Amino acid sequence: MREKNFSSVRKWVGENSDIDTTELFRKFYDQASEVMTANSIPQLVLHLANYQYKSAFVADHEINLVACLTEILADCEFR
Amino acid sequence: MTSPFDYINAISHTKKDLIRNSEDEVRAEKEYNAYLVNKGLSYFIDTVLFANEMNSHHHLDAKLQNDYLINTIRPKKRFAKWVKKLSEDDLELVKLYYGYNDEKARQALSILSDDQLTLIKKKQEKGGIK
Repeated sequence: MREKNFSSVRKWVGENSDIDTTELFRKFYDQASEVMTANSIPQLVLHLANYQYKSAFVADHEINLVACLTEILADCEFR
Repeated sequence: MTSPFDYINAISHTKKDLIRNSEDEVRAEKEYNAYLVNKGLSYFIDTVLFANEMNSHHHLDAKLQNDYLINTIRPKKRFAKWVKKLSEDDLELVKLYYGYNDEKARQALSILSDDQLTLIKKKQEKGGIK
């Protein structure tokens, strides 16, 4: 994520498609202040909230997670 | 018979409407596998958000989903190797062989080649009838 490498992120999600997304979103939120710049945190929270909401009715959670991480890659800066 | 990869190619590159241009529209619509088409489009940074849009509107008719994707995605030749989920058997094998925990075993699996995995499998064989 830090290197903004979409292919690696996509590969990781594919290999770990059985991961609990609710737990992952929560971990991201809890550790945001350690891994991201302060300016990026509000945007991260909006993305997490949006995709957590969507995860309730998507057909494939893997795609939803990739889309979430892609938006975070594009909009947030890592330390 | 039209495969999901034909639909992905049509959406991504050729922009041919395989449902409306087919002789049997009903059959073509049935052959459209939204799950696989969306998954195929999720491998590209410029199409993943559109794929997720259809992923969250999965109740729409196949024809409408195809229309949305074909008319929104920019034409471009795209190719990606599909990623397979890590096999739990392989993970257990690596854990047993190296004495690793889940996380370390996943890291090891990502750098082990198929040949090396086969070798580990052979070494771990205990014989007997399954």
